[in-house]
Amino acid sequence: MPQAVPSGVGPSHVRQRTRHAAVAVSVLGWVLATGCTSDAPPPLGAVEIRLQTAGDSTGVELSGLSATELEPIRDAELDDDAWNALLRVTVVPPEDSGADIADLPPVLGSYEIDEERIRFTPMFPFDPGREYSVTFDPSRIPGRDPAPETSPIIDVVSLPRPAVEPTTTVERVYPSGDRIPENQLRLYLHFSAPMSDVDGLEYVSLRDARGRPVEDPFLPLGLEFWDPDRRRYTVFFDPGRIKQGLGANEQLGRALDAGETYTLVVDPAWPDAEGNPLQAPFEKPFTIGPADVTPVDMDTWRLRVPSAGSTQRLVVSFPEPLDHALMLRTIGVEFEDGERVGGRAETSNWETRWTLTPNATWQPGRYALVASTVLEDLAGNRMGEPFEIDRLERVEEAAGTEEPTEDEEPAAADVVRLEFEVR
Amino acid sequence: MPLRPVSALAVLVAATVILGAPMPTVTAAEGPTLLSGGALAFGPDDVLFIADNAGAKIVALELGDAVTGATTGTGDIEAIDRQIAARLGTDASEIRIHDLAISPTSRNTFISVSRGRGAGATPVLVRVDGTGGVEVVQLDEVTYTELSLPNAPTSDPSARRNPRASSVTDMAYVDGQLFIAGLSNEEFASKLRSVNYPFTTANAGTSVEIWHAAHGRYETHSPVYTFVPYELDGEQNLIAGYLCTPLVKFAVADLQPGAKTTGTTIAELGNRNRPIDMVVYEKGGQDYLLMSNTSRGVMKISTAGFETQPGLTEPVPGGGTAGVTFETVEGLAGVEQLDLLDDTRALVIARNDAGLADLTAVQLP
Repeated sequence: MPQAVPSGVGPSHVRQRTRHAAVAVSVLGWVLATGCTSDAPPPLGAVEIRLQTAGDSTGVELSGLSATELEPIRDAELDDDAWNALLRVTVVPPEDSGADIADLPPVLGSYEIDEERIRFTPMFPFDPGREYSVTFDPSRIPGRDPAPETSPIIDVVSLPRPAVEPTTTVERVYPSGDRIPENQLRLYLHFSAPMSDVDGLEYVSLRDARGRPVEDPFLPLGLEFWDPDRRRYTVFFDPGRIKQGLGANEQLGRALDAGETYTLVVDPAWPDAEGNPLQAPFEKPFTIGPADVTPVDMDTWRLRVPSAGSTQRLVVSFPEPLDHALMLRTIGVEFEDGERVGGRAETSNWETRWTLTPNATWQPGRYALVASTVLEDLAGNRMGEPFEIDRLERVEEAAGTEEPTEDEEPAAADVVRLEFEVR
Repeated sequence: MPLRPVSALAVLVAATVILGAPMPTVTAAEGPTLLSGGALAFGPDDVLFIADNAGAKIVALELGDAVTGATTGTGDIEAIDRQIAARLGTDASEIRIHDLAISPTSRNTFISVSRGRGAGATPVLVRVDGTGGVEVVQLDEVTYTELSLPNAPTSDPSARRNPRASSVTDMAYVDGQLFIAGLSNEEFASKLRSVNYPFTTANAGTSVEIWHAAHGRYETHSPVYTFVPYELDGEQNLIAGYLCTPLVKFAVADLQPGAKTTGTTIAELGNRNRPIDMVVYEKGGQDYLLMSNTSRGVMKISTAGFETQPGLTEPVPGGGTAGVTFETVEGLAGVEQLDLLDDTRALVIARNDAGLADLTAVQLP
């Protein structure tokens, strides 16, 4: 809703802000009103409409009215509708939108007036590059007799759109290896800069060896899966096509077939947070291995334990790649006193290796590698629990006998520990 | 591929107290700071809950006088995305509508919107009144409380920021409790949390995990997208719609810290589909569930069988349906948002042939 003149922001304040305005961003013309007859109101002076930056906001300023013309406007204490009738700012719809500007409501904002000008400040900053139509209707000046021949003055203003070279790239995709199982659960796309809030699935596709797009490989979750920095995007393969026995799997089969090669293709039109396209297209080929239905097993992990007094890395090797994001979040090291060992955790060797470079030298003593049971491999198999699990029988057994026990369903916060000694 | 012999259609709900349960961080301040817009739900006394996914919190807005615009009710608006965009000084392509909720007192419609798609995207709460007027709710004058959502800790103490993010898919308030469904960008699992409201209670929350065994005999960590509280035989239940598209009931009383309960899948409503919104209404002495979907239209489901329908135990082949029966409502296509306007009408936002979103009141079927 257009706001009344804010309290404490009087005419002198406006004038002062204008005088010290940092940049006059855009001046797109001024218009002379003409065509007055002898019995019409006195002619308007040279009216100028322009964008003006004051402080950290850019608004529309209308100047060139005389004090005699401004005074009744100021005295009338116009309401929102009257302000909009006098000085109306409207978005110019894109040509291909099919919209008629006459059907669009005015832009929300606040009006201020002093002895020299009227200023409209939008509630939300004007979009760079977008055109805004400004209509000043002199016949709406309070106390001024309507004069049909005094046409509204219309101008179009816009902030310049800074020309920016596309610089954002897809930096990495996880899994980083080129071989994934047939029942791969998700992919992570890492960008070099924050991305925009659009449906990323429109820009990601999977092509088979002949370059043909794979039909509906990814899950249309209806939510965008970004990290808080909007630099990592998570794509889920449709579990209906991964899990056996699900309808989509029966109808379409798995999206990936073992032995085949596919290419993940990222459309460079995907806009980054600045609205610019990616610097280049991105492709990553994958060869598909058999489905992985084996739970993650900590007993198969191998540790290379550092020496006491050193800052060597602790290296943990896995027999298969694990989920990159979960590796970094759910694996850690504890000292015998229960304190978490601080350091830099990294993955390498196509996510078959997790390393911790400590911030301080290793103290001699007992340590434990601690991993949450939510840690998963590429196919979503968890610690001791495959992604596909026959839960029904357990549920039915429980219903027939007794409630499931804690043993059957580990709490989400459960962890497993692998102890080692630093000497 | 041959069908599996048994269709597992029970839902195992395990309620577990999670460390770092949600705790209130602010009480009775004015002017909340929202980093993003998200799901909406009305609570008691003109309180509007809004999910801020980027801020990892739920904000309870005490709307007060702001619950009513110029007039009560909600007027139809053609191309409401374009109209909202014009008011906010931008184009419809720069507007994202997250959710819609109708005030039980003013019957004005509140719409959670993001203005902009890029770095400067701004969450905006829009109110539509009985004349179809579109106004922005000025949050700087609104009293609020907020609740931080727990986030899994990172194992790397030097990590600049935890990359795990959760998105709230739906919320519903009933009997002093706010239920919050969501899912995360790393674990393909659905979370359903319940917290007491007002948020000032010390025991701020219990977190429950839902495991779901809907299709075939295999467990699915399936996300819950929409749910509604509904009493069955005097007992408060939640009726939940899952991805691809089992309909599940479970008793609220069973969702206690440390307890486990088995929900019941009372219908399989078809695959390759995501439920969007659901409401319950009464017509001719019978209650119905009205549910909008991404690819299976709007379904009208009599609740008559909700109590007696046994958990489905037979396979549902080829994307078929089973369980309580439903009918697809003719003439309601492209519905993206749905809520009850009054006893006889629903309000929908539906995508029209031109790709624009119309806000329209429709008679309840």
